[in-house]
Amino acid sequence: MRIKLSILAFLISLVLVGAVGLLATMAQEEEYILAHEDIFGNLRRPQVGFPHENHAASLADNGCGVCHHTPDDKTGRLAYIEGDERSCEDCHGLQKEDSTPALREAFHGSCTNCHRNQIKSGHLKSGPITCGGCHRKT
Amino acid sequence: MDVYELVRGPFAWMALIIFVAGCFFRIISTLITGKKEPALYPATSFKDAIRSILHGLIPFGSIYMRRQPLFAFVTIGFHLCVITVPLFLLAHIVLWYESWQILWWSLPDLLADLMAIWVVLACIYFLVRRWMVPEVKKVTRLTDVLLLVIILLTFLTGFLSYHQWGPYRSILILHVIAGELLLIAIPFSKLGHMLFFTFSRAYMGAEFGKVLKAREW
Repeated sequence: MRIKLSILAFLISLVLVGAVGLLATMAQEEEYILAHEDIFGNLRRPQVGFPHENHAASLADNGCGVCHHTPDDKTGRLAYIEGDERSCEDCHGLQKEDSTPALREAFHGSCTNCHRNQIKSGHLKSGPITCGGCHRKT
Repeated sequence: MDVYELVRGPFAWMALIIFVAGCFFRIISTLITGKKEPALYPATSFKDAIRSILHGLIPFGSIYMRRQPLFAFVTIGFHLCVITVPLFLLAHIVLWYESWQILWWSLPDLLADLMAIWVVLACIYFLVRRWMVPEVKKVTRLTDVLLLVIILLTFLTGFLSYHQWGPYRSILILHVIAGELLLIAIPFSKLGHMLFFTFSRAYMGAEFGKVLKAREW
C-alpha cells in the first residue's frame, strides 16, 4: 500500500512539474531587449527594453494584430494569423525591400506612431514619444 | 496636451510656415524695393559679381578672412556646422521620416557631436569678441547678443539631449523651442544674411571690380 501511494505521489508530481514546464515555455517574456546587433551592427543609440506584457495587456481589445502581421500565403496581404506571430526582424532587414520598410523604420513606425496617435486621441499616459524615452542610456 | 507633442507638432508647423513664407516675403520685397528705389548702380558686372560671391564662399578666399585668421577659422567652421548638423543629424532624419517618409544620409554620431561642440564654443568666442573688441562692441546691439545666445542654446541642448545628460525631457523640449525660434528669426533678423549674402556680395563685387578696379573684397 505504501509503495503504491508513493508511486502515485511520484506520478502526480511528475505531471505537475511537466505542466509547469509547459506553461513556462508558452508564457512570453515580460520584457524583450531590442538590440539586434546582428542586423544593425554597432548600435548608434542605446538598446530598447520593450515591455511586451504591458502591451499585450493594454492592447487586448484590439488584438495582437496591432503589431503582429504576417503576409497571407495566397493574397500576400498583411494580416494577423493566430499562432503565427513572428518577430519583426524575420521580415524587416537593414534595408527597405519593395514595400517592406527597413527594421529601424518598422520599429519607429509601430512604436512612436502608435504612442503619438494615442496621445493625440487624448490618452496622455501613452508610451514614450521622444528618442530617449525608449533609447535610454543606463 | 503633451508638451513635447505640442512643440514637435503644431509649433514646428508654425515655425516652418513662418520661416518659408518669411523668406519668400523678404526676398520678393527686397527685389521690388530694389527696382523702385532710384539707387545709384555703380556697375552691373556679372563676372565681378560671381567672383565676389565665390571669394566670399571659399574659406580664406577674401581679404577680411586672411587679415583675421583665428576669427576666420572659427567662423568658417561655425557656418559649416550650423548648416550641416541640423540637416544631417540621425535624430532629425528619423523625425523627418516619421513625418514625411523622406530619408537621407546621416552624419556619424561622433562627428556630429564634435561639430555641435564647435558651434557652442564658436558662439562663446563670438560673444566674447563682441564684448572685448572695441570696433565690434561699438556696433553690437542687444539682438546680436540674443541671436548668439539662441544659437548657443539650440546646439547645447541638442548636445545634452543626445547624451541624455540632465533632465532629458525638459532639455529636449527647450531644444525644439530654441530651434523653432531660430527658424522664425532667420528671415526677420541679421540671420537673414543666409538669404541676402549673395545680393550684397554681388553688389560690392561689381562696385569694387568695375569702378574702383580694386580686389579688396
